[in-house]
Amino acid sequence: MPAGGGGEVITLQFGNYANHVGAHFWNLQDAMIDYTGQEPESEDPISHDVLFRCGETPSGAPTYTPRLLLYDLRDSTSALSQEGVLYGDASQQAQVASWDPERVERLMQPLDEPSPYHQHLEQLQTQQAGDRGHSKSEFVVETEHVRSWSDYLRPLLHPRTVNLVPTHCHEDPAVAFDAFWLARPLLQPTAQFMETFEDRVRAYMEECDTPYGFQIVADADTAFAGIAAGAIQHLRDEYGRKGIMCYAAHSPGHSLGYDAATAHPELDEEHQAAKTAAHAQHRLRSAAYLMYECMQYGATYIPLSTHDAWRDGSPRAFLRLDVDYSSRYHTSAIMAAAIDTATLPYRLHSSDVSFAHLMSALQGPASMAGMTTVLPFEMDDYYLSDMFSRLEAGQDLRVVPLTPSFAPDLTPAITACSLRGINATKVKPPIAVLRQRGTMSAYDRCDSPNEMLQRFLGSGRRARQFMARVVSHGLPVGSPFPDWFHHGGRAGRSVTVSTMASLETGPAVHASAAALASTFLAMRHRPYLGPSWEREEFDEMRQVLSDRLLDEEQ
Amino acid sequence: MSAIETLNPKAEVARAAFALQLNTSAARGLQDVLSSNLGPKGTMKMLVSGAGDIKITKDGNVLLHDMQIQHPTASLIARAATAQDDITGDGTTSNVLLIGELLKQADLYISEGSHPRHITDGFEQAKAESLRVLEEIKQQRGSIDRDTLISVARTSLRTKLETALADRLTEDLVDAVLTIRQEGQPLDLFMIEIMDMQHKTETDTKLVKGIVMDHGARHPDMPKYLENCYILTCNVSLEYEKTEVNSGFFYKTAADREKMVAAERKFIDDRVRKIIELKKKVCDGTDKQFVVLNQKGIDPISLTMLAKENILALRRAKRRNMERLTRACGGTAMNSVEELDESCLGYAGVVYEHVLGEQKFTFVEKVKDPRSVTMLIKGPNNFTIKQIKEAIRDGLRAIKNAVEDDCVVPGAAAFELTAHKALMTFKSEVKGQARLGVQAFADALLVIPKTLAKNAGYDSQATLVKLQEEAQNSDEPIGIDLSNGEACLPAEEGILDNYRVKRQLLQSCTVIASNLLLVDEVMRAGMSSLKG
Ligand SMILES: Nc1ncnc2c1ncn2[C@@H]1O[C@H](COP(=O)(O)OP(=O)(O)O)[C@@H](O)[C@H]1O
Ligand SMILES: [Mg+2]
Repeated sequence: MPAGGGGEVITLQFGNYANHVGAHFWNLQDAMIDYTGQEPESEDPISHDVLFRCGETPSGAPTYTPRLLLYDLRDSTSALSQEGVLYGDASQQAQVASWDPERVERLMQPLDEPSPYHQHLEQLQTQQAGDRGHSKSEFVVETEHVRSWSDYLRPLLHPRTVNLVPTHCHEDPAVAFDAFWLARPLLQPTAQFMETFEDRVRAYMEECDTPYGFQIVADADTAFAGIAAGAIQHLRDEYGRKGIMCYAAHSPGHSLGYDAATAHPELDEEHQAAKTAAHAQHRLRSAAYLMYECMQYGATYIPLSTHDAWRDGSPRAFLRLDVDYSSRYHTSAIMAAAIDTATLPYRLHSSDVSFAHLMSALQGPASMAGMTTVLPFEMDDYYLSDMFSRLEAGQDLRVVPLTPSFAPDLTPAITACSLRGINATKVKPPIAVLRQRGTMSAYDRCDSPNEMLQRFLGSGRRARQFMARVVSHGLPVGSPFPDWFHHGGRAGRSVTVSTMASLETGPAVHASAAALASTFLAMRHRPYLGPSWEREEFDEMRQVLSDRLLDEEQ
Repeated sequence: MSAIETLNPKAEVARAAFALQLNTSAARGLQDVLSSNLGPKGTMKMLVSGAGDIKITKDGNVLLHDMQIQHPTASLIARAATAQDDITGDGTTSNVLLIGELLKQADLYISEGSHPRHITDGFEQAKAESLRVLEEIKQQRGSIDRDTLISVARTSLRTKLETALADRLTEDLVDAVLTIRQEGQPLDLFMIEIMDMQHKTETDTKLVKGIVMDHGARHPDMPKYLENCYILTCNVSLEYEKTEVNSGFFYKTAADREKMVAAERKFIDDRVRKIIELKKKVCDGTDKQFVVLNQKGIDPISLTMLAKENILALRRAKRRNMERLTRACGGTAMNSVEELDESCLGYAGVVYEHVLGEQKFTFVEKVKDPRSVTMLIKGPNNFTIKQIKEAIRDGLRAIKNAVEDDCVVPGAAAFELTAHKALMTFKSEVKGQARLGVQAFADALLVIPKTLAKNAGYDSQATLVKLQEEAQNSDEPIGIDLSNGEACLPAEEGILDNYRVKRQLLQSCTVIASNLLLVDEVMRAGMSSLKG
C-alpha cells in the first residue's frame, strides 16, 4: 500500500476551462516528479501515487500517467491526439483489415501543427537524446497563441483519459453548450457516452487498492456543469461513501464563442440581444444547478473564480502578478496553483489525513467550501514569522479569495490551510536581528513554521477547527506556467515560488452560496421549463436552495 | 467534408425563396457526401483528424456527427438521422439520401411555380400509400426462424464488414441472440457483452459462450487457471474505508484513531472469513475450486486472506456484469455474506486469466446453460476494433428488430421499386397539384436502387430501366443483384431488411423534407423550434 495518507484519488475534468485548470495542475505535478531515478537532493514530501498511476505500454515500457478522465467538445484539443502517443503503435496505423481497401476513402483534416511549446519540447528532446527530464528551459507561452489547453499540457496521457462530447463543438455559433440541460441526452443510462464514462471510471477504480474518492474540476458555467452533475450522481450511486470534491471553475468573460447574430440571422437585433442575455443567464443556471446537485449528492462544492461576484464581478487583485484577467491560460493557472497547495493534506507521505477526512470536514450545511490563496507567498526580505504578522494585519499582504462573493474576513468554522516553499534559514529572525528590533511578535515565539501557521489560523483568523500543513518544497513555476511573477529585481525566471492556500467553511462561505442561490432564484426560468428541465425538478431545487441557504439568513 | 464547408451560409438574410434554396442545397450537399456509402459495395470513410486520430466508418450517423456540421439545415437533417438510428439502429444513410432527393424532386415543381404546400400534401398521401405497400410486401413468418435471422444478420453485416469477416460472424451473432433469448421476455441485448482486445498480430472475432471480463486478480499469489469452479457473485465491500466523520477529527488522538481502525478492519476481515468458511465447506475433500466475483472493492489485506486459500477473487466487476454472471453461471448475486450457502453459488467449468500488456482479462467458460454470452473482438488497432464493434451492434439490432417485428422486408431496393410502381398507379387517384407531390415522392424513392447500382460500378440509369421492366412483369418484389447489376428476387437471395427501419424512414423523411419545404412558415415560427 502506498505510504502516508495512502490512497488513490481519481481526477475528473469536465469542460474546456476546467481542462485549462487541469493542464496547469498536471504540469505542476509533472514538474515535481523525478523521472530520473537518481537519488533526490531532498526527500520528496509528496506521494504522487495518490494522483498518478503506474502502467505498461503494449511493448512493455513502464508508464506513469495521471489517473484522469477529461471531457471536452470535439474541436477543443488542437494537436493532441485523443488516444495519445504513449500507447500507440504507429506501424499499425494504416492497416484496414475489415473492409476492402480499394473502397476506403480517406478524408484528412488539415494537420494541426504542434504548439510552439510542444515544438520547443521536441527540440529539447532531440538535443538531449531522448531525455524528457526537466531542463531549465526559458520558454515563454504567448497567451494570444494558445489555441487550447492542450497546447501547453506537458505530461503524456493514458489512452482512456481524453473523451470528447460528439454532439457539440466550440466553433459552432448556432448551438452554444451553455445550459446544463443540454447535457441530458448524453446522460441517459443507455447512451454510449454514459456507458463509456462508467466503464472508464470503473477501470481506474479497479486498479486502486484503497481508493479515497474523486476530485472533479468542472466548468461552472457551461453545460459541462450538467455533465459533472450527472457524473456525481453516478459516482454516489456506484461507489457509496467515497469522497467527492468538486471544483467548479468560472471562466473569465464571455468566451464561449456564442454569437447570437450568426446563430439567429432571422431575428432582428433586439431579439438577438435577448438571445445573448439568455446565454449569460444559462451560465448562471448551470452554476446554481451544479451547486444544488453537489448538495443533493453530498459532494463538496468549491466554486473558483478570479472575479469577485457571481455575475459581472471585477477581478480579484493579485498585486504581485501580471495577470491578464481575460485569458483562460492565465486565470486558470491561479486556480491550479491554489488547488495544488490546498490539496496537500491528503497528498503527503507523512499525512494522516485522508481525502475523505478533509472532505467530510469541509461539508458544512451548504456542502460548499471556499478557497483562498496567497500567490505568491513572496517573502521579499522578511522572515516567515514577519509574514504572518503582516498577513494578520492584512494591509499590504492579503489572503485572496478565489470563491465569488466570498469575504473571508469572517471567522471560518473549519479551515485546512497549507503553505509550501519555506526556506529553513528564513523562518524567523536570528537573535541579533530581534535584539536590534527590540520587539518580538507572537509568531517569533513559535518553534516551527507549522506552529506559526497554526497560530495564524487559530488566533489570527480565529477558526474553530483547523488543520495546518507546511511543506518546504515550493511550487515549480517554470514554463509552461505563466511567466508573470515580479522578480523583485532578480534576473531570470523563478524556478519555484512559495504559495499558501486554504479551503474553509463558515458563515462567509454560506453567504457566498446564498448569494448564488438568490441570484438564481430571482431569474425568470419559466420559458425554459419543459421536457429537458421539468417544472417539478425546478420546484424542488427552489425549495432546497431556499430552505438550506436562504431561510437561515433571517 | 468540403462539401459542407462550402455551404456554411454565415449571416445571410434568409428570405423564403432563398431559404428554400439554401435548404435544398444543404440537403443535397449532405447527400453528396454520404451517397457513396450506401450498401455492401459502398465506400468506407477513413477520417483522419488534425491530431492524427483515425476513425473508419460508413455509418451515416457517425459521419454526420464527425463532419463538423455548422449549417442549421444540415444539422436538422443530421438530427433526423440520429433519431432514425436511436429508434431502429439502422438506415441513417438512406435517410439522408431520401431527404436530399425529396427536396431535389420537389424543387423541379416548385421552380415551375407550384406551391410547396401542394407538394407536401402529395408527400403525405404518397407516404400513406407507401406504408400500405410496406404492409403488403413484408414477409410474415409467424415466428421468425433461424434461417431468416441469419439472412437478416448477413445482410446487415455485409454492409459494414468485408464479406469474409461478415460471414464468419453471421452465425455467431444469431446464436448469441438465440442463446440469451428467454421465452415471453423482451430481448435484452445487454446480455451480450461486446469485449475487445487490442492485439498486434491477431484479427479474430468470436462468440464466447460465457463471460469475458476486462480485469483480473490483483494479488500475485492468486491462481491463474482453475477448473471445475464454484462462482460466488457478490456486491459486498471487502475494502476497509476510513469512515470517521466530521466531529472533531482534527483533535483525535493517535490511540483513538488506532482503535477505530482496528474495529473497522475486523468488520471487513469477518466478511472475508465468512466467504472462506463457505469455500472450505463446499470444496474441501473435492476437486472443486472457488472464484469470487465482487462488484465492490477488495483491498490488499482481504486479497491476501483469499489468496492463501487459493481463491481467485476479482474486485469491481462491472455492474452490468452482475446480472450477466448469474445468468451465465447460475447462482444468486449476494448483497451480504450473512446468508451464504451452496445454493447461492454458480458454476463454470473453467476460469482463467489472460494478460496483454497492462490489461488483464478473465474468461469464465464452460458454463452449463449460458443465458448471457460475449462477443470477443481482436483487432490490430483501435479504429478497426471500433468499426467491428459498430458492425456487431448494428447486426444485433437488426436481428432483434426482426424478432420483435416478427417480419422482414425484402432488401436490395425491392421495397423502393415496388412502392414506386404502386405510387405510379396511385397517382391517378390524386386530385390537383398534390399529384405532383406524389410523383416527386415516387421518383425520390428511386435514389436507393440508383445509388446501390452506382456504388457497385453500374450505370444507374440503365440498371434502373432494367429493374423497372423486370418489376413490371413480376408479382414478386424485384431487387438489384450487385454482383452483376441484374434483377433478382431478394427474398430468395436472402437479402432481408428490417420492417421498422423502412417504416421509420418513410415517416421521418417525409416530416423533415416537408418542414424544409415549408421553410417560410417554419421561419416565422423560428428555426429554433425545429432544433429541439
Ligand atoms: N447484398 C445486397 N444487395 C443489394 N442491396 C443490399 C444488399 N445488402 C444490403 N443492401 C441494401 O443496402 C441498403 C442499406 O445500406 P447501408 O449501407 O446499411 O445504409 P443505411 O445506413 O441506410 O442502412 C438497404 O437498402 C439494403 O437493402
Ligand atoms: Mg444499414
